[in-house]
Amino acid sequence: MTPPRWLPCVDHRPSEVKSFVADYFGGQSEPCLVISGAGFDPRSGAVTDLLRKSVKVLHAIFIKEERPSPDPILVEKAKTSLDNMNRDLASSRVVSVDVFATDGAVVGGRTLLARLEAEGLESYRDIVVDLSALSIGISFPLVKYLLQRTAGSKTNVHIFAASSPGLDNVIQSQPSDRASVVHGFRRVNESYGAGECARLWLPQLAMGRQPTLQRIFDEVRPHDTCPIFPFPSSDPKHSDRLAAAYLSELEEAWSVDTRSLIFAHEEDPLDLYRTILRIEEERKPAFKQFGGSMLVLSPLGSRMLSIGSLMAALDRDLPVYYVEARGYEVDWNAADKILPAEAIIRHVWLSGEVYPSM
Amino acid sequence: MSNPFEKRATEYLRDDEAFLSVVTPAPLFTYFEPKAKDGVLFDRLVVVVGSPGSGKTTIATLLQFKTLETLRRKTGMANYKELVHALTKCGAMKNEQILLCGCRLPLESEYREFWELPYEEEVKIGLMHSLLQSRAVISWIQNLTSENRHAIEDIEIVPRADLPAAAEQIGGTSAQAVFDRACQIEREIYRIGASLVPPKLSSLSHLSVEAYEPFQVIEKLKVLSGPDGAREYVPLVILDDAHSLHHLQLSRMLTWLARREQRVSRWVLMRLDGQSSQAALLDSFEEEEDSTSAGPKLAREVTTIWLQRKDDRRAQRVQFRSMAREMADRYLRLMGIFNRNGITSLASLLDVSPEPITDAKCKELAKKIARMQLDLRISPSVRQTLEKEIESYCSGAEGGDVSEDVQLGMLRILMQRYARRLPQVSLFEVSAEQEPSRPVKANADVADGARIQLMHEYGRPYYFGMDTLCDGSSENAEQFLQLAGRLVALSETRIIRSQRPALPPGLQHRELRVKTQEMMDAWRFPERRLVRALVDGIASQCIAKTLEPTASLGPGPNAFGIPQEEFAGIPATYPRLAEVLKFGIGYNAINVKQEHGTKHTQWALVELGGISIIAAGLGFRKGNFLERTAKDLAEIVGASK
Repeated sequence: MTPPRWLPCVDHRPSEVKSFVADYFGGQSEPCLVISGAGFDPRSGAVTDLLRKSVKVLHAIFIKEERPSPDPILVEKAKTSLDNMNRDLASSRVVSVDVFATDGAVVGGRTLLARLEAEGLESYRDIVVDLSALSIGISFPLVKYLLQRTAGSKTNVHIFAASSPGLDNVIQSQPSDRASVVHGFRRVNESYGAGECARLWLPQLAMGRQPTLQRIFDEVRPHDTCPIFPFPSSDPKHSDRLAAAYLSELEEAWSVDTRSLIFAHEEDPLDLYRTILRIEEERKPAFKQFGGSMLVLSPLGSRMLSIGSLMAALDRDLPVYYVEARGYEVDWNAADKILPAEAIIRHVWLSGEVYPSM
Repeated sequence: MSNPFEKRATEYLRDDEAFLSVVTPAPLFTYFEPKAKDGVLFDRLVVVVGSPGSGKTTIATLLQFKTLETLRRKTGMANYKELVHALTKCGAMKNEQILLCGCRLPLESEYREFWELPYEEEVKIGLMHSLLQSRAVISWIQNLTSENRHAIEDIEIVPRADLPAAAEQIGGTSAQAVFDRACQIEREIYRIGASLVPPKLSSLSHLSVEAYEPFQVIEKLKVLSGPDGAREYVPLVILDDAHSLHHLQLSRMLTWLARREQRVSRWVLMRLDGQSSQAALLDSFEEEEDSTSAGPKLAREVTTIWLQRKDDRRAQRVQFRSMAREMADRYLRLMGIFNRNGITSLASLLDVSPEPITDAKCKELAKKIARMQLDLRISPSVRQTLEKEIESYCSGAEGGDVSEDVQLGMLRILMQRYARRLPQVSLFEVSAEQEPSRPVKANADVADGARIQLMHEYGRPYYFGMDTLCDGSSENAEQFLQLAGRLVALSETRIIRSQRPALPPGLQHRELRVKTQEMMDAWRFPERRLVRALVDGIASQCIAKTLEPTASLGPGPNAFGIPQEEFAGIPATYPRLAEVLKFGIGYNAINVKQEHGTKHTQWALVELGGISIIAAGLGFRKGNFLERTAKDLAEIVGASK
């Protein structure tokens, strides 16, 4: 059995994050870099605000994801959000990334990494990636790239995310017309010559994403599907509602066995991370004689669960499929009510001095 | 038992037998056989264009060697003979033996990503072409060897007779050596495309950039021994979803594949919205080709097959109706409940006997007409003449849906037309019986106009029957199955409840309107909001025209007509609108008919798709349109600036 990369894992629950930031970052004089999304998402500034209070020299790179013909309200919200984030920093830069090429191809992840190649990141002792307002197509390659680039150095890579499941439900993406692999991650059909292995798809279910997940299903064409339900969750009935909403997909299109449902703690990324790794380990010997096994991830919805999927994908080199959003629709009335009460911040320390053996 | 109509096509693709049990040969006869007769299906590049759900992937899957081999072995399959007959007509089989070794390569986003690599164009294109060729070689050999059909040692690659030495670059003539070399090349090139940060040009391996042209070298694939003895197969590569490529990549690939040096058969399948907005609008590949570029002129070197749309639309409609019937009956036979009840035809489940409005509503309509007659000052004798005219039409009318309510509806329209056509007289002129400027005639248009007005006014069923189902699906197989699926499910429920399985027109009408609305609400393609705004905008103006008392366009319009020249300028004048139109066309929300000659002017008709027509409550008559400008269209989607 391959030991998990993040076991034990240094992470901080929402109740511990503030004191961790104050203790760890507050006690340092070296510069820290935060890479955050500069979008309309009401959670954009939460992590930068938290760091600003403790970090003495805070530099920032704000990634602005540009999508075709954005809603003017979202543009205005993003501008306001960026203005707020840009206060009291040692330095900051806005990196605008076109998520789509002119022909509609998804190029955001690749473009961002090409831009970061020119950045001198080695001078920072700590690099914080704030996933709160970054899309999967940008954040997943970014984290993978930072881990690769800082491997063997003393730089610490952290991820933070402000999450509020209610808010995830009121921000609806307008999916582009086809699913694709997240840049830099493995593909399901990477080698025609190697033959076909048994593909198990682990889609993370979220409200209103049936067409998106169906598009991914059509692209991945898995042999089996184990959908991930957020449970336990802040709304205990959420999984029931998801099961009802996805009934036709589960029963007909994906032919899901009722014993194949995965439940993962909505606010604990490590729960899902360990579950995915366990499934991977158990399938390996079973499918060894039949061309091998491959888990395919599709993290949608909850940020925290996405972090779990990201960690599993990084640990086991798993394919991550998604449908890039061409734009977003937000129910602002609902969003404004949710944010103050629900947003929570979580921290996972991905690499650096706390993992001497990595 | 699940409803096979509600399953997506992709669900059948994994299992060859399940796939073959639902596939219908009709598209092969309709679209491919004529080209096969001309001998242009396998000797040159074939480009198949169609919207999502038009059956491209189904055809590609059918022509894969392993699918054909499954078909050949399963002689007891219900549709075996028809499929083999169709494949024989298309030149894929002969005497129940397979002639082609087909493989399907979906051109996923991976290939598009090569365009983003920071290398010169030649290098990027070269890498993609090599990857495609290596995967085609791997797939051909895997097709021949899968399920232990043939041992790889028994397969030989037959190179071009005039280039025997070229076999070296593909690994020789032994299938194992050729397979190994293809795998090496695939691995090397995949690594470059999938890397997080692309490697420097200077660090690319020789293997990935050196000459590798199996499409030019391989003439045949030869199986030396097997149950049927030695056989030779023509290699066929089917590149599916080519619209995913960058348009320059696509153009370069088409030019490359169109070259006469290429020996293997090659097909490219693509969606309409994948071409540039301009091409989608102008309906022409030649526009796509850079006139300054060297290489063949695509139109001459390429066989282009349009699934579901071409100039002869009447013939297309008839062909689709027949294909859809066949497909629906095949699906219906898969449902035990219908089999047990001896129902083998979907058409028999759809009642077409007219369902007039109730007597009470009919009386109400008659009263309205009497009031209108007074308001319009139409004399009883004129009314009588009009009634006779209607009676005369109805006695000879085909189709039979001319019940009393329709006749009243027709009378109302004719009275309005009569009043409109009377010359104006001064207040003090003696009122004598006037003659209208043009005679008022009852015809099929008036009858259809009356039916559609009765639908809006009294809910009289208008959308029912098999032909309506076909027309409502815009000649798109997937849309047809979705619409039919709802009706089949209803009929199934009726059987379970021991009711008559056939659906009365009222029920069909209601369900189709609800279903089409649901389908539109479920649109999830790019620019769907603006496409929806465009569709709703066109529909609302068309409805207003349809409900005009004189029903001047009979069943009413379902399109906007834009002067052709103005329409051609849309990509330059209103690029945003062009994008919206591109996706609307690609996903069957709208259709564009160009060069439509009416009133000595050429028009481009932006027509609503069948789904939108039913949802809005419009007529299917093609060619009825409202004269508008490109600016009007742009304003609807807020893209006039």
